[in-house]
Amino acid sequence: MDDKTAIDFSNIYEQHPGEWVALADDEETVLATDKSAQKVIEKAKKIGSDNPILFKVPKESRAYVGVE
Amino acid sequence: MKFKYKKIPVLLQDGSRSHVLRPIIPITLYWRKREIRYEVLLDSGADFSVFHSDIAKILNIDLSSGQTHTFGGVGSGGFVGYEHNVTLGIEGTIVTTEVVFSNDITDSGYGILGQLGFFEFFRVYFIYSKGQIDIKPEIITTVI
Repeated sequence: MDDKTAIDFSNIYEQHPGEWVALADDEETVLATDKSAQKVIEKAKKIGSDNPILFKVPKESRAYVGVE
Repeated sequence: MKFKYKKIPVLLQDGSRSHVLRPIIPITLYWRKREIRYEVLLDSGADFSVFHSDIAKILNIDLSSGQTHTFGGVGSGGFVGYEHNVTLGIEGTIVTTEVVFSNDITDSGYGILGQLGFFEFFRVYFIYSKGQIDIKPEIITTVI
């Protein structure tokens, strides 16, 4: 696999497990984090980002098969 | 529309660490005058598109007013979700469709795009060797 073209979420997973993160348009820059999705939007708005991309970082990262 | 896979660190059974590539892409959900952008996993094995209930709250959707669904998965048990009609955007292409919001996505799970609500509208080409996903609308409803 060519993982050079992929966007690396390693830092996001390592630094914010279980949290909602607000990302910039580049999908890499973390604008804000919080355990609450609503609060993470409010935090992003306070720094001038009205429409960030939300992502819920899994608390544990293991091999994945399905939603459970 | 081209998207990049996301490189994800994973803990393996033997305690060692590795990385995988997952097809996680940004979408936009619209409901009435609200909208939210959200990273979700393309999961062609899922029947429905299922999102965190937190997203419904931000959109001001009355979660439990939707039709109730109980789902089974590859894991140990089923979970409950509520179906709602929303507008879903992938870059400039939008479709109005039924999706499910659930409180039961685990702490290790993702919001997912499944057959209903997503793959019925889009052709998806997973080009894993290039770390790239190409998505083309099957039926263009609106381009914004």
